[in-house]
Amino acid sequence: MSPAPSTRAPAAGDRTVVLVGRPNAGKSSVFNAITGSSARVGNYPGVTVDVLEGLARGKDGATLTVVDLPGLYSLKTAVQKDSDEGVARSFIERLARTDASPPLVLQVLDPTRLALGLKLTQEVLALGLPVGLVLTQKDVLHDEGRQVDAAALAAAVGAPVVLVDARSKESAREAILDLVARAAGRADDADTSSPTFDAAEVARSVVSDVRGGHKEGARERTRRIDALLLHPLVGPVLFLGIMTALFAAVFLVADPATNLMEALVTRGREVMLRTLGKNLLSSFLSDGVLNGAGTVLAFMPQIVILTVALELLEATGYLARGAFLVDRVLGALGLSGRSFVPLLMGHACAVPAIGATRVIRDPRERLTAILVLPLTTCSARLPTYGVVIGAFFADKSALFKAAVFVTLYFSGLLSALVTSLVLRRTATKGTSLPLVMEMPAYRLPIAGAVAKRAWRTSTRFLRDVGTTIVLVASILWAALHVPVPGAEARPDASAAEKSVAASLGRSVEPLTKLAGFDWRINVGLVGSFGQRELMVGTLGVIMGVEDADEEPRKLSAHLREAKKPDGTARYSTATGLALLAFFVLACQCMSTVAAIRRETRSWRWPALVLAYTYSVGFAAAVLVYQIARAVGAG
Amino acid sequence: MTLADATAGSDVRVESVDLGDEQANGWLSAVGIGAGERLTVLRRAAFGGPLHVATSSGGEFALAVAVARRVTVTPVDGREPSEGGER
Repeated sequence: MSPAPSTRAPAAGDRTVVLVGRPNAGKSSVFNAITGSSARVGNYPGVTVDVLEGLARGKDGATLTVVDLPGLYSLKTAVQKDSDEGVARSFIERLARTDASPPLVLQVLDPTRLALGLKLTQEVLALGLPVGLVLTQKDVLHDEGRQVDAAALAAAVGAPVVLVDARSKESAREAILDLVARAAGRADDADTSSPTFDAAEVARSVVSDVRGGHKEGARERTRRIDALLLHPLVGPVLFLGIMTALFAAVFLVADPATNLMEALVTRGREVMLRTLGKNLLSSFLSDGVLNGAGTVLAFMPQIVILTVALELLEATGYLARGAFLVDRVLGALGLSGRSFVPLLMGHACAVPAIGATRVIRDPRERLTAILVLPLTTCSARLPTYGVVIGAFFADKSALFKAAVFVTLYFSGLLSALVTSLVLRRTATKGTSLPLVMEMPAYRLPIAGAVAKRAWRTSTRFLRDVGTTIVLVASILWAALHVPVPGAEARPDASAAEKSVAASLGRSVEPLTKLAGFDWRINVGLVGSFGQRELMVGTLGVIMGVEDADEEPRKLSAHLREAKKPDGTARYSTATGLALLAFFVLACQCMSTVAAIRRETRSWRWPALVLAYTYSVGFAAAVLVYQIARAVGAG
Repeated sequence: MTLADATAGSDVRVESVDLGDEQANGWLSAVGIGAGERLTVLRRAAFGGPLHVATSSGGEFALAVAVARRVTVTPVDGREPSEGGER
């Protein structure tokens, strides 16, 4: 199977051009310059990191499929097979095996750190494939008052070289396409032997100072900014300030966005009911499909804000500084400083935070972060806790309710930390290199590139996660509305009582009784499987209380007054506490599950998350219920 | 001595790297921290956090103490001009 899917027959001269380079070498801007707007995430079987591909027209009219591999330090050595290095190496090897004409490798180098880049060049040349070198950041080099002799470099390494400023796209594009033509032309000559050279020696001989370069270099500027941003006192304070601002932006935007989406969904429902009448189909469309779609759209503003913020932090070089400052703290949990931003953002919403784990380079660490993120106390948990507390503990003191609320909040954090420690010793254990992270020079980000990536991330979220959410919402609707066969024989029962969910709730009741959950609560749990916010509304439906989520007092009174056949209260304080314990741990969020599925590209990890959060959640509920009863809260 | 013992502001030369795995050693060398490389320790993060080092080949890196302990170094006196035309 060719890794570059194409709908037309390849013409002579068509090639795959693979971009490789160290992180921060300027690869993305080179990729954007050549491919323009045609970039999309390539679909390569078995490749677990995003590989961007785009098309370009070569000088000879041939079609070039340009592939942007993740940044890497080495092709020869990889700490792990699934690290960026491992993925890149197997990707190039497979291409060399399967493509008709050999792929062309373009290495992107930062000329201000040429000696480092040339170490990789030696490994690239050893592949025996046609190679071209693109030196970027001509502007930065110029600002530092230095110049590089491209011809001398080409002679020394035995491959064509071009120096570009990727910010002026047109000229960069022309120069690079010209380079591709030259490199491809060389490949057709028989000589593929690569000269051996000393990277540091070559770098010294081709880079020279020029007169008149009096501007402050990027290096000195970076040192000066670092003296402030990494200052032992000022640094952490600034970092916390930036993180608080980012967190507030993600957190606060959720509310108006959700309100807007809810208003839209309500409006859609009204229109639907008017046109279709009140029947099973209109209920399916409004409560199932529209509800699911509304959920997806409600996440969009958060996703966009977090993506743009992360791109900016990464592109300016600040993300590495933040990781430097907090690495020690996270090290105690088996994680590195790079996990900080995703874990913090999880407290606003796990869904964009799971996407944000892409900043974690170590694959095992990234997986750990993805698996514990569903436990963080996200913004959707807070109103749910509020309503459940309101419904079950309406007669308790405000102090009691506040204490429960605070305990719940920190239980989420604590459980995430404990789970991380456990996972690092079990499911995600194995050697992973402790923090070795490049501290790039500070740069001004290119607005267009940041916007493009934010757009790409958001649209992919809509497509990948949206379909799963709408699907699950539809299935859950059916479970709550479609009667089980034979239920028609009980005309006095409500539709909800005859549903598949109700019979499921009854069948597990003997088990869930251990936590004080009767079949009605179980139905609520089925209803909130996809979205924890739906718990109270579903409970309202099953208990015949209308608009329970907007007016929890009515449901609360109902819960208080409900009696068992023997006259004792059906729902005690212990049941409420057990239910909350379950809510802290269980991943009742199909959006999170869909996001995990998307980021890990397998159903194995989302299945593990569901299995472990539900079983630990249930165990905790049983424990809390039994203890609460033992101390007399029954 | 190891890199973990180096104080902020000092210059050292890498003698050897032993992360207990050939691939990892090779990778660290490819990153820019291999035998023969001259390093300047720019700063150390608080509470035993990572070291911020500059390499003579022009890179700057954050290294966890756990990695720095596996890097054997010798102190370098005085200021040699750095390599690679870097400044």
